Amino acid sequence: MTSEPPRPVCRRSLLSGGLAFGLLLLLPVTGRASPAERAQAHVAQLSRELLALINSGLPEASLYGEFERLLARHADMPAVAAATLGPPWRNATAQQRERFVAAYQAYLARRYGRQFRDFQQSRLAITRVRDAGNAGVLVETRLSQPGRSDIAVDWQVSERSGQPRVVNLIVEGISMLANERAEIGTMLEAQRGSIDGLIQALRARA
Amino acid sequence: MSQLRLPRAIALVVALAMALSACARSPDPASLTFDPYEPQNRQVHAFNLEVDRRAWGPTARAYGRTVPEPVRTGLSNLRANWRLPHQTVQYGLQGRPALAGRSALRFIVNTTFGVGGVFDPATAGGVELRYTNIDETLHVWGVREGAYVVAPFGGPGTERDWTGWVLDLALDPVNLVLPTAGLQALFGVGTLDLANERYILDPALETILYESADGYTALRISYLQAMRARLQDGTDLDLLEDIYDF
Repeated sequence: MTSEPPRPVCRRSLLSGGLAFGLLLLLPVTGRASPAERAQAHVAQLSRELLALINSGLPEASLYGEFERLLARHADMPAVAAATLGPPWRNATAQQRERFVAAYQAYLARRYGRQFRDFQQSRLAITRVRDAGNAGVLVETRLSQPGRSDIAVDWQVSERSGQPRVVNLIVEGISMLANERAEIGTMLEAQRGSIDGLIQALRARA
Repeated sequence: MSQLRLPRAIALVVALAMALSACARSPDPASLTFDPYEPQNRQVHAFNLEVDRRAWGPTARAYGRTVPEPVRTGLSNLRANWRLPHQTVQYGLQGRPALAGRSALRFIVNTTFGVGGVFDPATAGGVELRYTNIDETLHVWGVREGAYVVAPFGGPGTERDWTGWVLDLALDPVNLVLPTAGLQALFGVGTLDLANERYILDPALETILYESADGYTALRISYLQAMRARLQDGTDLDLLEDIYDF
């Protein structure tokens, strides 16, 4: 076993390193984080809360409620609901919109919360963060579970509401927004375009 | 025997390539609604759903619940390992020598140190699996995916995907080289691998197929998005929508 002799410290690299550090200190403290960094921090925080909830062992009834509160805190639910409903949102009254957001949120919490029991003991690691311009920032994570292939879970985060909030979830390339738009569209059609009917139908599934 | 199979396979390639050139063309390659065969597809989907509800789903769940996870994973590893020679060739045809090399290396390491491929020391050593097939080769060559096609017993696919599936079977070097007994064993292991896949995906499939207002559309949308994301190694940023603008 031979070990490499210690390399002499290169004076120039030390100098430029010191220079870079000095420049870093000159940056204003506020506004140092970019939208991408804020989006990443947001996803790190919400995934900690999400995994804690999944592993909490709470009974299903209270699990859905907790998940719904987590959604409301970390996602821009009124905007997600509007984008899901599409053009009919514009013709809805303020009161209909409010009831639709509430019903949609509860429906989502149950539809996706039902799958939580299969994700116990999983881990989530942020793998890449990409800026998508007007669409926001895509924070890519890998969900790993013992004995299974990793699952790619991408969080689309936007600051349009004033704070970083999740606006779409993309699992293995499958956009939740695209799927729910089709689902809600089918339900609305079954109600012959009645928003009140749709709200009733969503409540029945929540 | 195996020398005789090759010309037949080439004839098949030519015939299918001609069929592919007649593929239905979607106006928008990112479309999730282009489905010219929808009436027929819906009938086949209803049939597949019955098969899944009565036989395949319960079988897969029984397999998942009775056979321990390490055994199921070992068998799935084994199946995946013996797809690698074919995938090495495909990466070559796609003009991706690094991925071809990685597949070949995986095959050598897992066949020897992984006892024929039951274990996966290659992944532990940092040579991870990246799946490919002829559907991807055709995609790399610029062939469009064509229309959405639901196959009886097979589930969702596209014209290109199903063409690739037939070609994968016909051109897999393992199929041409392995003795019949080996191929039969591989077929059995492949069936168990599919059952394991169905079991692992059970919660997601239950939601998509049985808890949706329109399970047919939900499956089509999910399949098309997942297939396209896989072919480009992740979510396409250009497809992200500005949800505040509609």
